[in-house]
Amino acid sequence: MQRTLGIRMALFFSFIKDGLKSATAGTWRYHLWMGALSILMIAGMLAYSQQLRFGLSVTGMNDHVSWGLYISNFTFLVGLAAAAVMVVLPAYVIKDLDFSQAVLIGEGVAVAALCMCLAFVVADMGGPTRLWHMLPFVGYFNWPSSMLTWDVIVLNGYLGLNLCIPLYILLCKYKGTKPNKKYYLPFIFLSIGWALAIHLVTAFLYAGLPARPFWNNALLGPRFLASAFAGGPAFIIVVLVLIRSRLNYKIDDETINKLALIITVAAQVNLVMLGSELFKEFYQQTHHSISAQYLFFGLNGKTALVPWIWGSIGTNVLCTILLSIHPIRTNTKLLVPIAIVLFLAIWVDKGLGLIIPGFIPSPLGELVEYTPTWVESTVTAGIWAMGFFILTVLIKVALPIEKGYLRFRAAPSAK
Amino acid sequence: MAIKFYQITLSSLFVGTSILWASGKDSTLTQKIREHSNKVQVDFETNDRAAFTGETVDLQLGERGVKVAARIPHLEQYPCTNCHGAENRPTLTTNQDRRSHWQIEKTHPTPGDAECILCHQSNDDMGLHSLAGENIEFDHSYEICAQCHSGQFKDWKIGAHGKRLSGWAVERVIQNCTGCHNPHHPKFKQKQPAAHTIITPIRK
Amino acid sequence: MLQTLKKLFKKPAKEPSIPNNKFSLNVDRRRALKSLITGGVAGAALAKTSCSTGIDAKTAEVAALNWEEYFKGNYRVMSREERSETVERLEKLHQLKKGTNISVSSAEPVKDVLYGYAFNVSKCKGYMDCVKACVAENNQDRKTDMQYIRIFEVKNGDNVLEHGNSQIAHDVPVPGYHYMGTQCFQCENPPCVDVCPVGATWKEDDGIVVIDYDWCIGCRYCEAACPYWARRFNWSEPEVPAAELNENQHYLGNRPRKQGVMEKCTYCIQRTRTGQNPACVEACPTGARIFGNLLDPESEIRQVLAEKKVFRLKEDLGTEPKFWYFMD
Repeated sequence: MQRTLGIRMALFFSFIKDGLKSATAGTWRYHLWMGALSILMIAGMLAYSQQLRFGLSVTGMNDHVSWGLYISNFTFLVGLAAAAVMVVLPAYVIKDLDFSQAVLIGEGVAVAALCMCLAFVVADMGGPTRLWHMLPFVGYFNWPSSMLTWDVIVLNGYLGLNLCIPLYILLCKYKGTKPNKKYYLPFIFLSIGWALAIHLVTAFLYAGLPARPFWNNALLGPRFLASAFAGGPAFIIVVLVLIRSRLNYKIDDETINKLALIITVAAQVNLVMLGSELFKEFYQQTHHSISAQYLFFGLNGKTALVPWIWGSIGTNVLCTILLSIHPIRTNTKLLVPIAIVLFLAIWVDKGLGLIIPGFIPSPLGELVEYTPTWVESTVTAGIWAMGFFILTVLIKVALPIEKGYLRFRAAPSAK
Repeated sequence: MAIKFYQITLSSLFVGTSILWASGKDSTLTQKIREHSNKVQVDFETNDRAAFTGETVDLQLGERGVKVAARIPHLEQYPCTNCHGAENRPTLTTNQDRRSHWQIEKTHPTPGDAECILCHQSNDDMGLHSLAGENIEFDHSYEICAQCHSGQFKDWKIGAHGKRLSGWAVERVIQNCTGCHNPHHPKFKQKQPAAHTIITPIRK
Repeated sequence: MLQTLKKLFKKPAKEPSIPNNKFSLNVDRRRALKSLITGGVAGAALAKTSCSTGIDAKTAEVAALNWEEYFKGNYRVMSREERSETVERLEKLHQLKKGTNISVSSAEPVKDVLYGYAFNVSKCKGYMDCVKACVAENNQDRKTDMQYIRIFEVKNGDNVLEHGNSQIAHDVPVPGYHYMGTQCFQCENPPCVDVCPVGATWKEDDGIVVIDYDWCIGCRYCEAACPYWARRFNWSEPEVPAAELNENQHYLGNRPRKQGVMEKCTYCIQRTRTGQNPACVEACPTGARIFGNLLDPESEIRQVLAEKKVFRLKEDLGTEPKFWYFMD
């Protein structure tokens, strides 16, 4: 079917216009939600302006603990983005129809999570106005030497994939035509492998540093994947349940149950890996275990992270046990709170419980603890709000199209 | 399966580039030093401040030419005729408000004052002497220290002990023993450190 | 395929004097980007200045110099001419902003030189004259007391630097303790160089690992990668009192840094490339620090390596630091 460029442009702009209309229309609860998120985002921007003016000295970071709340959140959110693959994979590869409803939402979560990742990285930079130095040809892109350059490639690539594939599918449905599998299926398969790549590369960022024995082990990459596939789908389940109840969008119980099963298996594998790590660190304690000692038991009276990690592991174990029990897992009323708690537990374990202890003690044995300041907390809250904002907008645009309400109405003369 | 193909391609790409990258790394440091050590002559424009501007003497008892900072320009109570008559025993010719020799704090070799003549001439010669009685000039007083401290002397000649007064690229001039050590009280004193370290940057 | 892969590699220019077409191309693209943005901003500025009361010449010149400085490339791949231009701009900027003159050198590595450093653990008494001299020489931030050198007081019989105390606030030396100092060891296999995403830190031919402060984006990956805690970050705008500023500077060494960039010991590159010793070596009153050319078989450092029993920190990490410790 021949379509002129004019019609294609009209289609696209109409899509944007209708999407914006859909995103800005809703109940008072919707507006309250978006309003609260906007306030948080503005607060985050104000806090960030302090950081731009006075430098990163307004954060709790220092030469000893040089990465803090921002990079902790970044690490965790890459996992959340990668977890979208757990929804995409069954839908397209195993062709499990139960998942096809959840696919677009999973990809929406991935996009929101990736935007948050990029925002956290920019927030953590000492010289954000110099980020163009990373551009190839114009700047100096130290690939393949630096793992950060690999991370830039895979994260932006994954963002591109997760924007373009749903965009194509939605545009087709918006037009009223069936999306052509020939166009998007190869990219779907690419995105599945890519999702594993983004999280492995992020793990390699840390695992490739012999200076930090807490991170420098072979299990870090697989552990990242396991915890991502436990925490990510947990978040997706909560989103799906919310959508099902609030937005009148049909999602089968089977979808939720299968996702819950994925979480359970991933959480069990995660615990096995955790057990393996604990054995290695504590069976015969060497100097290399000193960071693990700080995290789990404290060092020289410094015990800031001890309650956090034990709380995280305790709730993680509890949630995993509960999820392993079939009647509990299939009961949505119990599943949602368990999923939320598991999500938070993995956030602590992978964020604070991974990044901060890597710096304590310093390579020369000095012990300096880390406490985030109000600037860091506010910027973090603002970026999380931005993520939820993006997710809400994406869902608000995608679902009406999926349900068939939102369609392109071309001008009569164009036909 | 399509997934396997993509995963294999990506992983082999990753491994291949890593191997290529790793093979371009430098050889070990010792190899590098061994291979490039032929050149001794380093010829470039040096800073005026790199060179030592004081008086020097040539090291005796040494292998290749090493310059030692002269000591005599820095001696306060030298020559003896500054205060004493030229004849035999001391009669103060000037009313200098100087410490008398027996008031020098001496802990080396052992506390006490019988050992002054161990190093100093007891007759009307102005110089120092070795244990065997040979004269030693003040500028070459290291020869006295070398008698007992042969280990430190050996280290001092190669640079493992003592201090180099000139820059690395200019002619080597080393400090003589008494430049750092008071010969009568050679141990370094206790004092407050010149700087204070805070463990991590202070928050504004 | 191998050719394609090799083409993807970006090796820095070894001889900056020979203009490389590949990098001229980069400059063109950068200049194109710069002209586009300049055009756009100039248009906006024109509209603005036509309404304003007029900017004085000094501010305009500072702005113009800052503009040029912002768009320059990585010093690592600059040609000799570009390097001269940038140091001239920096000198001019300082003159305009602070009213005093500094000299910023772009001296290249001396040929056939590889710097090595030795530290005599028996000699160090913890006096910290080295720390004081280093801070003065390298124009380090006084506000946060930035120090490249760390001296540890370690109990005799322990000899584990990590068990030492760096917070020395009493008279030194304390009987029963010995002292060890750390700083950047200028590794031959520097992990910090590998991880920098923009190539802002690299190893020069004379062995010094340097940083282009204007190219660094402040991600602090290198700080995480360094096993010896040698790198420092400017968490805020560094302050050096004008009276204490060392005016003999090198682009890669002690020129004033800015907020959000890394810095570290450079073996006093502004001194060593003119034949002087680093400030710490010169300041040490006990002669515990030895410095020289590893490629000169008759240098003091080579003699020490040959005659004394030397060791390095964290030898198992394969970083090959060019800083050895020994005892009498």
